[in-house]
Amino acid sequence: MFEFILLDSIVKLNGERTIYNIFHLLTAKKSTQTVQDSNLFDLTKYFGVYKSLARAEFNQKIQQFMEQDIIQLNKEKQTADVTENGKVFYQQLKAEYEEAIYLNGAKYQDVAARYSLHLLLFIQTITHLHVNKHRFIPIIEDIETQKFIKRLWKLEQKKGTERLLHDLYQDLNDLLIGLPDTHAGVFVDSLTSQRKVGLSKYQVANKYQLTHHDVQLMFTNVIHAICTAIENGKDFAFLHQLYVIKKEKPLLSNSANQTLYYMEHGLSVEEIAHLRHLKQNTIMDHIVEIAYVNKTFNWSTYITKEQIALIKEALSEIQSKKLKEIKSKLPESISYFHIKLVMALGYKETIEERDYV
Amino acid sequence: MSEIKLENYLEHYFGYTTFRQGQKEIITAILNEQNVFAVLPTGTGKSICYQLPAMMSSGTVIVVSPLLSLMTDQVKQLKAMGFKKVAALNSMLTYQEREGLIDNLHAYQLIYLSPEMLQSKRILGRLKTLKISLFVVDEAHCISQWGHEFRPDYLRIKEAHQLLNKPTLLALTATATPDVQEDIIQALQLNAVEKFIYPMDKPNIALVVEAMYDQKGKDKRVTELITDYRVPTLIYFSSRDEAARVASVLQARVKNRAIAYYHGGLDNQDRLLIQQQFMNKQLDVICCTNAFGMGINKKDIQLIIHYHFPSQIESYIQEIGRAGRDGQDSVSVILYHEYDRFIPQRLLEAELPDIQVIKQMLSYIYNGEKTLDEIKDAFLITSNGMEAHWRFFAYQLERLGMTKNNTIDISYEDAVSSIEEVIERRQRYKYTKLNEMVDWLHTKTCRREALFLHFQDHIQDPTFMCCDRCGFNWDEWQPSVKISQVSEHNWRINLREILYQGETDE
Repeated sequence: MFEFILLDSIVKLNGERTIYNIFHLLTAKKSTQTVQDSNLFDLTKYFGVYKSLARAEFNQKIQQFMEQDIIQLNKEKQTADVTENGKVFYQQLKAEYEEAIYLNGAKYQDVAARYSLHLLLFIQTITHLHVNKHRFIPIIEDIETQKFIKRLWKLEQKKGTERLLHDLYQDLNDLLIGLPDTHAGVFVDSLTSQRKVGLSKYQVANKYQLTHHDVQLMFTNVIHAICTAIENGKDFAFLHQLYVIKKEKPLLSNSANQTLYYMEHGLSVEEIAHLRHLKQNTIMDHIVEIAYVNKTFNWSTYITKEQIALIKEALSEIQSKKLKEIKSKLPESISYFHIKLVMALGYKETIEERDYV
Repeated sequence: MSEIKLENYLEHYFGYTTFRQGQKEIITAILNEQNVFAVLPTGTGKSICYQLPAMMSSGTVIVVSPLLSLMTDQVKQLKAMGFKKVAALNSMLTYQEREGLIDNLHAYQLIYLSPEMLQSKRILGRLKTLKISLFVVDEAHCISQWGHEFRPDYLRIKEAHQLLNKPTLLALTATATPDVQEDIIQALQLNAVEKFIYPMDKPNIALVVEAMYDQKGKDKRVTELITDYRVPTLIYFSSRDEAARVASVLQARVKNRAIAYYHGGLDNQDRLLIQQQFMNKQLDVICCTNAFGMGINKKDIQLIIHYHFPSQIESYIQEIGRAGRDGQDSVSVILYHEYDRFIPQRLLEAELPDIQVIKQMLSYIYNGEKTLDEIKDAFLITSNGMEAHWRFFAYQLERLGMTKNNTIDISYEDAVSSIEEVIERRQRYKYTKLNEMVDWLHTKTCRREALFLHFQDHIQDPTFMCCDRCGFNWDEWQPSVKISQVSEHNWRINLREILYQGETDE
């Protein structure tokens, strides 16, 4: 699964961004550039799905792809292209994983992390209470999680452990049946109950002959599948109780959020830059980032209708996301900022989905 | 405090009806406000000696310990037992957690501290406002320059103790030769102190050394032992990679035994899971480095294998002390290859900073090129981020009076040679310890006597077999088989089982 996600990202970046953008994508470095790219290249689902990935391990995998003639690295630009051999491999992985992936990082990366802590601790707690064991060492050390479970138990206690366990079992069983057996196996083996301490990542990896990366990602995939089901209003008997509904926050970096505040007051790029003691270029980057998530904004302060039309036309002619090429086809008065803004506002309509392989 | 009452407290808080060797005597002395120095072997319940007083008394008990994982394990265990007024103050906390704790110190009855925390004026100031009923120095051998794990930070304990108006002090260790014992008492400047020294030899553990000729031979022998003796087992390694490698060899070769590895390179969650699985009897063999074992309170371990021998006798005694905690017949076996000594030797040479680095740093100081803070950065960059090397160097600067004010009373050459001498002395000492260990491996006479005579004059009669020099015979060791229940089902059945559903319901 890790290999598929990496290759899928490489394919979608199409040699137009460095491979380190993938690392930043998976580990959710919320820099303006990463957020823009994940939108532009249709990679938002992988945003922040593997936060614990170490840079050294990422590099190791890239190195291995090169040695296996799956990708070719452009040393200078640090970009990667999939080789012919790699394309075959990619298709195999795609057939195996694409259907099974429920990841939606842009939407769930925060809530899912919380959710998995809640679920793990709740299962440990309820199975102990069921056999009247009130003393045990919590598998989750996070204090907030412990408080949450305590509060939840107080609210749900009257139902009794038998009923709660039954509901929990039905919910999980229903959900896991729809996933590949390996994903379900990885997930269930990682759970800690009164009867059984969960397996560590390396133990699970060993059992299913997977890498520890896959174990991590498959577990996360199951959690995202649960979150998706809850968000889609599936009638769970219990699982939704562990879900903390968070106000939908658009995927913006903190700094862009501040810029948005001034934009909403109708300030120009120059004015915002001056007020925030930042370069105009930085502000323009923020505006582009905002354009990806906020299409209904009144953009007339920043771009004219005529400019939009010109750029859209150029974009539909050139099948590339390389800005330099696009700019060369346009009048001098149109800046890189304008191009990026239009791409952000409507890339899906203007740029056809590429046939990658 | 009457005797009956003390046992009631023990039962109330810990569920035990009787004390183990030494506990009652030590607790009674503490409650009578006497300073105590105690040598209690591992696995005899050292921590109860201060945990029980903490639960009973109205004041606060503070425990200085260098072992962060032990601290956090104990805090977790105490909380799980229902005693919540316990906290650990150490570098593993986030800024917010630490601030929250410091503001709330008065709410705790038992506070664990790492020695660095005692350097903070702010923390000491806060501690001063509390009524401290007992000041505990755990792993007290760390204060002795001759102890096997000397830590410069520990020398500051004395000042902290005095600053807090000398509350009753309890110094505890599991291993200390008589000269180290004297050194500890000196270093803490305890004039009136009651000593409790208990023998470290465990009469139920047989000591065996087997000579090996290559790695293959070792792997084969470990496989045999794990196959033949189905008891909870620890296998010690001096490298992480080897622990992981042999674990996978054993997993492939030995059927129906649950085997895992454990070392400091695993993340917190995985370490916790492995420990808990071992406690919960889901695992029965652990391939580990010396990072494992602290704070593990498992009573049914019966076999300790050293794939690599430790670098000193003290560590060896501690590690084998994890076996046979309920008095069961247990075996310690070292698989010894002549070249094994090079591993600890290499580690030992890397333990202290290189003299060239020290010269360079000192020249920055003498030329006034860098401030002390800048020196720290430069030092860590040059030494590849070896924090321990920096702590050593910082302590040396302090010792030479170079950190207090701006005047330096010693010449550059003298400073270099003084530090050089410390390094050499320290390394000689470590070599001596290593040689002691190797010599013991070659002992022709009784191993038990040779091992413990450094520490005590009398050796208890073994309750089981003694050692390979006194006629140990594997055939006579027939421990009852205890193996983990390894159930291999698909996820559907597993899910039903762990959530108490269906036919497996209890």
